[in-house]
Amino acid sequence: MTPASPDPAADDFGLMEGIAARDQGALSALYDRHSSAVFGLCLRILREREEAEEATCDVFIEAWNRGSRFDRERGHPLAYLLNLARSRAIDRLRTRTRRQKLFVVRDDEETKQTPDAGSPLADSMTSQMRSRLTRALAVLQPGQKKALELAYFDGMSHSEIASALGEPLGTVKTRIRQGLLRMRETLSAEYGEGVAS
Amino acid sequence: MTCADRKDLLLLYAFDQLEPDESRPLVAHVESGCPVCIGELAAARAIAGHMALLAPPATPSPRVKAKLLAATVERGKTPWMQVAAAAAIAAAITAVAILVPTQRGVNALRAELAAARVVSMAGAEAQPQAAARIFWDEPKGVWHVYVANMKPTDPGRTYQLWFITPDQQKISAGTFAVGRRGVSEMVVVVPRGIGPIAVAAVTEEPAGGVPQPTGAIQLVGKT
Repeated sequence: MTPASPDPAADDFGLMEGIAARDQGALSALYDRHSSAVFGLCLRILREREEAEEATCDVFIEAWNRGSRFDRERGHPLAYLLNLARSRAIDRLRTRTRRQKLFVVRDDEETKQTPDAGSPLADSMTSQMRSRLTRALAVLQPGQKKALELAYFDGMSHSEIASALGEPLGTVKTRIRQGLLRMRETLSAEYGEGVAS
Repeated sequence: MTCADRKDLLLLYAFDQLEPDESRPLVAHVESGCPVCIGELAAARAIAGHMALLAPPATPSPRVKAKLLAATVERGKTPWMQVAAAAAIAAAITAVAILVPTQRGVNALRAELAAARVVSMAGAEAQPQAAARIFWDEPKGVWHVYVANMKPTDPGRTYQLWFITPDQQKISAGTFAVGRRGVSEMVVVVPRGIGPIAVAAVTEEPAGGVPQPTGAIQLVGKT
């Protein structure tokens, strides 16, 4: 991102408008701003660098191809990109899992990634959002957080999470629901009047 | 069910935590244009987007951006005959560029690429699906070249990159091959004193390269 920019969120919307107008420079700038967040998410889900890079490329190509249909009323471009990234990465994960016919709860140690140290194009907006998320997750019970992570990063259904954690289905459903509501409550308080979208 | 009742369901939907029979009527309601639920779904997706940030950021390799830009080229062809344009071709010119594989620090390279002038190369008639990007670091006199979607050459053949000056002199920038996936990346040192470069082009030539282009043009782009 451009450090001097007074309103990064507004810039993102402008870049999406540029993409809708087939301005490849806008796509390039959007990639520079958010590829580290998108790739980080894909890598966390897929745990395999080459496949995560392919998924990252797919996300931005899809943003380019569907740019004219982007609706600013439906959310912030970063949320759009990250939801797209999760969706594409989970699709790949499920395809791989079907191939392997194996579902494994990964040890936390396995999921560790080396944070991007000082990318010149890092987006300070995501840093602020990350800080808010950390505070929001801090109020969750460990079981709620674990269930949410399995749902989000591993694309597991309630029943798959229950099986993986060896817990009753009802308990898992309650944890996820309560965890999400608590997250929403905390993030809403962080942003003042509802989560920025 | 009221929109207030749907608020929590939309949050679960944004996290893919609803069964199909639960999500179907919800999606239908949102798609009917309910402004309240459209807003709630956007907020729910923003929360999901925050969850994504639990994953630490990481830097993809520069070839991802090169592939992206190559894949999203708005194709406008520059025929070879236009490039040649009745110009007199100078006699043999020694290839003076150096072609070396890229083995550089990713962050440093990203910073350089961000500041570089970008030249787009589109696939010519021989392989219209091909594309390339040149990131031209003018202060250092270096081209970072990223090629995508090219067909591997037959045995005994190679691709050759050319600098073409405004007066149609063609100067070899070196040869390269692409792998099974059709991509290649290279760093080309632009010879000092070459003067302005009007066009970059890639032809297919006999292995080892030739002093002047003889084969069909594969990629071309105006600088």
